[in-house]
Amino acid sequence: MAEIKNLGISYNKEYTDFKIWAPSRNQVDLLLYTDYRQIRPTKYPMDRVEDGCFYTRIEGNLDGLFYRYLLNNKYEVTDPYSIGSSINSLKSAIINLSDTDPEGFRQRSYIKVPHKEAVIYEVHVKDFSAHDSSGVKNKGRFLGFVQSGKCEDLQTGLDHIESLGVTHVHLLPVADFLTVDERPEKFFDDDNYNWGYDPELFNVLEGSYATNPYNPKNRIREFKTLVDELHKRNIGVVLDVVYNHTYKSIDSNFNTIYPGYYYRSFDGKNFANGSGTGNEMASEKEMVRAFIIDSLKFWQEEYMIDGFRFDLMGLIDKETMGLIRDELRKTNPYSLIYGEPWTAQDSPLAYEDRVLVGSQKSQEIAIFNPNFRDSLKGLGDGPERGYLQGNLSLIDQVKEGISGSIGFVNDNFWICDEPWESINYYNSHDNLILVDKLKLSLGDVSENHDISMLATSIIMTSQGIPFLHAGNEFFRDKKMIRNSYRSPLEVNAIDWNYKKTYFDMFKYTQDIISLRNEFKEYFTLSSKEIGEKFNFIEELPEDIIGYEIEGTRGKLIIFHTIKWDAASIDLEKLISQGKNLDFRLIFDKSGSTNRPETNLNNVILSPISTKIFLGERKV
Amino acid sequence: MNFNDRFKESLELYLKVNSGKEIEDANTGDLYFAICYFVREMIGPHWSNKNEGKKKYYSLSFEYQPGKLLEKNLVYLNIKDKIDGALKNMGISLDEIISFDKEIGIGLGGLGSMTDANLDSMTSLGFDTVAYGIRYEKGLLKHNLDKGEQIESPQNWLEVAKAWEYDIQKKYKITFKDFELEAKAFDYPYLGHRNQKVNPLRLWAVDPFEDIDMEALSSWDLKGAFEKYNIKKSLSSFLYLNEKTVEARKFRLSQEYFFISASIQDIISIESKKTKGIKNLEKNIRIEINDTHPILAIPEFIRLLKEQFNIPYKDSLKISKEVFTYTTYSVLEESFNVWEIDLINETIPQIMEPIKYIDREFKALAKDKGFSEDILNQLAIIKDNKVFMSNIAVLASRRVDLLTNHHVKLFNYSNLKTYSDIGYDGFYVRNPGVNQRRWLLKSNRELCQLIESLIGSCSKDNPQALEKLLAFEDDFEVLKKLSEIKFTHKENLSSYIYKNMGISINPYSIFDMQINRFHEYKRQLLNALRISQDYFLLKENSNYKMAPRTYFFAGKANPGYKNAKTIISFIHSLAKLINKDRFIQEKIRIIFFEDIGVDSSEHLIKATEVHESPSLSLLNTKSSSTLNFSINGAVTVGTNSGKHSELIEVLGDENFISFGLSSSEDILEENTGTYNARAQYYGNEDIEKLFKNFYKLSWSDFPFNFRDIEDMIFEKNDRYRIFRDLESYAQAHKKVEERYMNTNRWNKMALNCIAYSGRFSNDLSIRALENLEDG
Repeated sequence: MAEIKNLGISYNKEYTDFKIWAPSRNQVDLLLYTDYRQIRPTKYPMDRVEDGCFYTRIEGNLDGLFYRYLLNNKYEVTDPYSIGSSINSLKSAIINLSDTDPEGFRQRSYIKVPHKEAVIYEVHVKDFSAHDSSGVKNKGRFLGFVQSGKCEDLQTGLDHIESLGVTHVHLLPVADFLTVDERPEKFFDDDNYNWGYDPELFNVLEGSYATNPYNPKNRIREFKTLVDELHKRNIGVVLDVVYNHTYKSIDSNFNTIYPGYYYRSFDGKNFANGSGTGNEMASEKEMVRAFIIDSLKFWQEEYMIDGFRFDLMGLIDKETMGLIRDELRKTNPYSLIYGEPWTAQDSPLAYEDRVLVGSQKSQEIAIFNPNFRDSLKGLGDGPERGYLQGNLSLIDQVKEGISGSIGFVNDNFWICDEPWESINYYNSHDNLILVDKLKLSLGDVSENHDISMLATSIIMTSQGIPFLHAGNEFFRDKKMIRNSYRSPLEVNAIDWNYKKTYFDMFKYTQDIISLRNEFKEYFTLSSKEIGEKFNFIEELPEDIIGYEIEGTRGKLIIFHTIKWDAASIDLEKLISQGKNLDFRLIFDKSGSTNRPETNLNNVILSPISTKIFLGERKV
Repeated sequence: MNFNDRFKESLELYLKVNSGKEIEDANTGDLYFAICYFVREMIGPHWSNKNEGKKKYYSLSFEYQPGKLLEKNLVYLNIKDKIDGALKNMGISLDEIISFDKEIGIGLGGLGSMTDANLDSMTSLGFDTVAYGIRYEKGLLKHNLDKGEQIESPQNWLEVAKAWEYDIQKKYKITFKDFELEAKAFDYPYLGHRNQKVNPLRLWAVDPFEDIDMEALSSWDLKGAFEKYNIKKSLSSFLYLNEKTVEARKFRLSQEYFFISASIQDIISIESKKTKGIKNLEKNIRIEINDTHPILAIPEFIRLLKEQFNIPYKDSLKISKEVFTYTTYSVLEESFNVWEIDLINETIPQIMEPIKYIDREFKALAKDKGFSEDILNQLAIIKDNKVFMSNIAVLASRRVDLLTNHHVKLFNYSNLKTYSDIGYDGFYVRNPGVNQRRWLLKSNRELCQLIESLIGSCSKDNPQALEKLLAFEDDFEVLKKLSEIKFTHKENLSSYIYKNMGISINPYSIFDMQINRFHEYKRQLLNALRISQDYFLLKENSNYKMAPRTYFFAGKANPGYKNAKTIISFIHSLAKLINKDRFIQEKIRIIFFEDIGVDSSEHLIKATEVHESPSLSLLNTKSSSTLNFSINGAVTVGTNSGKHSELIEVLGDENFISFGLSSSEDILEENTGTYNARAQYYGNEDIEKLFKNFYKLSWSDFPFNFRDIEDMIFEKNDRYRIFRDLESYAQAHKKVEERYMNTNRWNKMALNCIAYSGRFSNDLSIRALENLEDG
């Protein structure tokens, strides 16, 4: 099949072209509406053109109208290629995109941070500012996200993110999903929250985050404002994209337009369910693949998106992921591309075609690293403990994670060719957030606070791309809810009062990120450089991990202790050529510091803490 | 003095006298009473406009639905705009004051609206009438839904509507076996439309006569002290309490007697004053018995003529046969009172003697005519120690009025069918019609203005003139205006629903309504099951081309009617299931409109596009409610029944979408007894599938035991033919959608419905009656 171009609408002020690929349909009509609520649209027959497409051109300036397609006079569907929508995804909208850009938006372009230097902050738009304590206007919405707010005397909102020092904000899905009623008056209802992994119109923004979801352009302008404000502060925007499934199955617009084509099946009849949500998109099929790539390029080019996080990337075939990478990097070489290297359930997609742990090797894309995550805090949502909670049997996996998961500690743990293929994290939006996991596995003890800080400093001083979930920097909990995908805001909204209560932790996180950025050459080593410059310190007890990294400013020496008591170590003895070095303590439990360490034979490691020295050659 | 000044002065005076306030300090309630007072001043002189030499019509009914009086009276006096303007000058909103008003709470459904329509026609046409009713203090029980169950609570209409009350200082003693009390009259002005005519709506209240038991009170037995007082008071407190127990039946019998005895005493008092003695009643008056409850009036009339004027039974029965008419509104079993003799003897023993007399008279006559034992048995007034009230009504009145032709054939429950068989010739088909003054002139002003601009007047005096509208049926501009008016009403209703119920509905969706008392034969269940079929279809594929619709249900169930209440719960649960389903593209919404009254009916009806009238033709009663919708431009989907047949004849298949069997087919099936619910169920995949779909729903989505519906249908072998008619009903609705989608076609249909409804004005029915009487 020749490449099919211009699906969806092609708008200009004189006319609009409509094109839909519906090879199994005999008749397709275009339905035009002046008000999305109308039930008597104007009907225009469409012509069957090449390659199973139907096409028509309607003269006049159609900006602001709505449309749907009528198939065989029996089904009415929205356009999967819609770029705008009425409230609640009921009708596709015809939009003149050219008047939706904020001033200077396109000129500011993408941020230029090499992906190995990324520090990622994952957050849900609504979680971020919905709570009263955020002190911002337009709480929980796109516009609220980029306000400068205050909770008492402390910064919230955009200022908070900026002060944290992260390079990218990774947003949970902002593309249109079905499980939230978009009417503004419903926004704060307890039963009207969702993470958003219920895709409907892939190229349309979710309306509930807009101040006026009734106006299709409003959400576009406001989201572009969000992107632009982050870009102004040199922070990149990563979108969580959910191309592995659609919320609806039999009556999704795809499946209604061309039944059976867009989804995988084991038996040719029933929907396969590798996503665990009822269906899985057949990314390996030509028009599905083309749709995904077109969609990603649309987000990248129209909204200046800096990177993409692929939900259940294991369900997207390797070839498609390769094409995605090539296409995205063509436009923006800095584009971040990473995803979940697993499926939820079994899939008809051949095992060797799935992007799983390891299959990203040398593919210039990154994966969430489950090994490092689980060895740190323990498997799953049960009481299992990880190294942080004292499970010493996991020490080697933790060390492997710290050294980039390239098989440096043990060949069996070799899952990456280069460290930046690994997203290093101890939690994301999924599963118990760290605070709750600690509570479950250790009880509600005061040490959980120190363990949380330690977990962050381990992630930030490891080789690979560090990743935090919003609120990790101030002990955010989610009331022990394992899967808060539709829990009320009482569970999900970030309570900014925590920032005040746990200000020490915030400052600590800020300092460790700042240290990572300052010493980025030490934490962005290639696999080859790790062999040359990275070294674990031997002869430490199993509850202390120490390592040294060579760099242009000297040697960085890092200790993480999980002991609940203080420990004493002899730095001079442990460090090779330690005698030739002047040691400066640059980071400890209270955050950044800078003082010479003199008592080298008896360096005290506080209980459950990280200590970092810079060893400079004596002159 | 100009109108505004006079009005203002009246308000000021009233407020000073009654609340000690200036206008600017007065609240809505103060102003409401002050304005009512002004209106009463204007009505005052009209009371003396009498129609000397003409017949006087007395009407007895347990129900009336006059609605809210303030707005109606302003419109009927043609001063609404003036008052609105005058109030605006004072910074006061008339709308707010009108919404403060409460409906006169003495009617529930069809009966009330038909007696109201008759009263409206008669008064507007200049008749002298007195309409008697009971002043139910706690009204007709407010009906609200609590988790889907109808809950009744007192409706305190009187605190507001008493603004219209005239205490005419009339009292009559009513005697029961164990106690006595007094009935006290309160008059409400019932206005004619802009004709300076007013008739009284006379409502009886209990005056307990002997008061609280002071002896009990002095020993602090509070309960005892008030016991008798309360029992008596309760006779004019509520309408239609559950009648399942003997106690309840005794209460009802007492209530009926209280009502008719007071009314008959009043009639005799008025007439005897006029004629100095009691003469020429046959010529001067008619007493209409509306429905079964006031039938006791006949023996009471006979009894009182004897007691007060010593007129022998024989003569008074003759008079009774001239002055009484009996109208039956329904052919359901429950619509015919049958009282146990024991119960009568325990309650009002004095009434038995005249009843026995009428019975004896009939038996003598029957013997004379040589009626068979069988017929005699069927028509006996007293049989098996019970009194069959409808037989009294037939045998001791001049006429039996029926609402439609086919009722005669259908009186299986009563014995009226037998009367027809033996050649009784007192049946008269009344064909009640639409009260165009309420449903068009008053409630749909916008439509009226359009009609006036097209044909000069809006059906006030000559309702048939509405047919002139047909000249515009192909006038695109007129049709467009018609649909714009409808859309405005739909939008207003949508915002009302959103404001009051928090449910957002699409004003563009098709507004589809069934407003009926909840009754199995009205088949709200059929309607709901058909909607469910659409819903489950959308659950298979929400993209099915289906025009979005908003379905409204409004109506009340009698407190003791279990199945009707189950149907209410079912619809309520269905509404919850569907309204919260975010994945059917907002194609269906169901609004259950609580505590429906006249005022809310007006708002619902003028916004209606599709009117549902699926009641089983076999048991159908009346046609006037359908006409209320038609005159507002709604197209009816209904059974092809006697009720609708004349309308269908006029409107044709194009403008009336009918389904199901015709009345005669229905009767045939009924009489042959061939219907088999089980065979229907298993012979119809769609129904089986529908039921399975219900059983698949989770309790959290649909907290209703669908088994209750299944059992209800099967228990009586699908008495109401749900299974049989579901498919043809669904087909009818396909037609609705197809026609609706063609904007011009639909608007033309609406115009036809409006134009032809004039032919069915209630005025014509009243005129015909007048001709019959005077003729």
